[in-house]
Amino acid sequence: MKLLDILWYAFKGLRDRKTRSVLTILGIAIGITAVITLVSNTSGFDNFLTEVLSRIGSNNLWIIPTEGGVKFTDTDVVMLSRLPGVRATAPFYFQRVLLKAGSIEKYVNFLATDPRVIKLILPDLNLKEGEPLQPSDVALVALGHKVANPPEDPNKQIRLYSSVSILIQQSSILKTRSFMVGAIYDEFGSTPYLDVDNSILASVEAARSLLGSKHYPAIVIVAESPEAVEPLIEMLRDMYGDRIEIISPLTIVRNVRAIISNFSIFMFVVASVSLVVAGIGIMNTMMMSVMERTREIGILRAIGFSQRDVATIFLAEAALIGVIGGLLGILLGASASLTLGDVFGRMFQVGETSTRMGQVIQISYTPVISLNLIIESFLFAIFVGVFSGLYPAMKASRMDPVQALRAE
Amino acid sequence: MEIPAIKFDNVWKIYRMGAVEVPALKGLSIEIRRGEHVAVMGPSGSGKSTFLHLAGALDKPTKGRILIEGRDPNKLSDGELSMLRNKYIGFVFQTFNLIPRLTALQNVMLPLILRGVDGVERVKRAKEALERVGLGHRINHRPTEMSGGEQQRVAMARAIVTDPKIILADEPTGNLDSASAAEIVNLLTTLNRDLGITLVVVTHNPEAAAPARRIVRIRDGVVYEGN
Repeated sequence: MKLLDILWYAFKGLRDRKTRSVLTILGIAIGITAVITLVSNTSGFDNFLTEVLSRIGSNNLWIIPTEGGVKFTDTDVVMLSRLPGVRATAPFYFQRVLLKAGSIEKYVNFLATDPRVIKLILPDLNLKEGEPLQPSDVALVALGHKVANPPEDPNKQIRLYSSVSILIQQSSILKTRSFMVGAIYDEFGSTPYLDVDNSILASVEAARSLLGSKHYPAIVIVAESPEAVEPLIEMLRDMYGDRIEIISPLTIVRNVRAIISNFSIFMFVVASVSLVVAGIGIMNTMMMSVMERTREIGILRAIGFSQRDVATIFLAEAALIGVIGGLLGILLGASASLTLGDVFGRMFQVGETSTRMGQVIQISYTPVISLNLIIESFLFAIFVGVFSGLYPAMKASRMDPVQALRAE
Repeated sequence: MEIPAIKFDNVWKIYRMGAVEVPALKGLSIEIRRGEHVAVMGPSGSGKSTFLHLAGALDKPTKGRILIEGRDPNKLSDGELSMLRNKYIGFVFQTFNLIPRLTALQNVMLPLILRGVDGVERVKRAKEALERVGLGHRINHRPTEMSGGEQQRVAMARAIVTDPKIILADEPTGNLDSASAAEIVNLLTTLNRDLGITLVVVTHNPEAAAPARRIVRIRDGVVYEGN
């Protein structure tokens, strides 16, 4: 029997029991949809995390005093710089401020640290205009791309060397200070924690003169390598205990990744269960089909079909359920992945609202539907079909032709 | 010496029903020559259906030797037995045994499809077979859209489409009115006469048995008349 004829006969068999076949096919399709949606979203999300990690610099970490905790001074900065595995340390300021420049008046981030460290924390941040900030620049600031070019109004731009005012609320006093724009950065893109494009960057001296405090609100530590981060965290805990909060993109991304991976294991189990159920559905459908078609099996045997031919026909039917279900599942899975990518993105959003640096990681990723994923899920669907069809097919082939012909 | 179409030599067939052994054939011997038209008659339970199933290589004997066109089913594998059925034997059953979801043409083509005969050729041969049984105009109808007589003719077309050496008919007129029954008997007789196909008809119906050149009577699992 030729393959095409086997498929023709199998298809006729499925069409003969339309409703049942459609429901069984749907079972497989749902399972495959689940697998594709899950895998494409997880790998899309993983790509996003990897990219984020590479941009924010996985070897940076920030320490912030907890309520009533330590007060950071230069002593801390110097002491921390001497810890093993530390490449650089610097005071770090991060605050929401009101910016005034001409007719522009809006809230932006004020981000101040040692300018030499900026290059280490944000290696991809490039100057568009002006000169890099120097540690001694008390009256100069550098603007992030969106601060200089507000996206909401292209006509309102802040130019290089123009004057800007920064207003901060300290207890009940509103403090104002003017700075000159010494540099404007290229667009950087969104990153967790540091939304550079919406920030004003300044030196530590400038921050001190603006805020007037002798204590630093945070310290940034640049480790020599990502591997050095975890031991450093342990050392910091030993030194400061609970009096500081430690923020490390590396550990956060790792934690998120661990959650995602646990979640995806759970989802994978669910998807697998749905495929097992679908497989049992196929087996059930095929068993019923074998019982109902006992007479037909007898006829086929009388015409000259061997046990193997009969088994092939029933296996082909089961495989066809897998093929159609698989194709349907791939289509549904692909469209579900693309539409659900957004929903999942919102679901997985990670906030660090407990800190002043708290800014939500902006999750926007594209699910990855690779050719491999499509081929593998398709083959898996066929496998489920064939595997579930094995027993019914064997049962059909072993029927005694004489008994089968007598069946009602 | 010419090889007989079917030869049974002291054939026993014993069915096992739990612990009880029920013999259906008890040392049956018969020889049917090529091209012969034989009617096999006998009361219910006499073993004539068992005889037909064994002659059609659907079953193997418990004891004794059978030769179908010179081949011993006991020495053949399932695949070889199936091939033997496909190549040499055409069955016609009391209940027609057509596959309901297939059209007349598709039902008749089925044995050719199994053989791997290609599309154009098998359609041509199936149409010829249907025309031979007088159903050339109803090839695209399904069994449910046909009368009993028409269905039985489709079954006959299916039996002859492979150019078999032997046609085994099990009560071919049992489910038909007398007019249709007469047509079928006629048709079977013609096939035997014109194509030289060995024809074995198992029947209760004396009219179906009448055209046969030899009537074999089976009782209690042995031939008691007509050998």
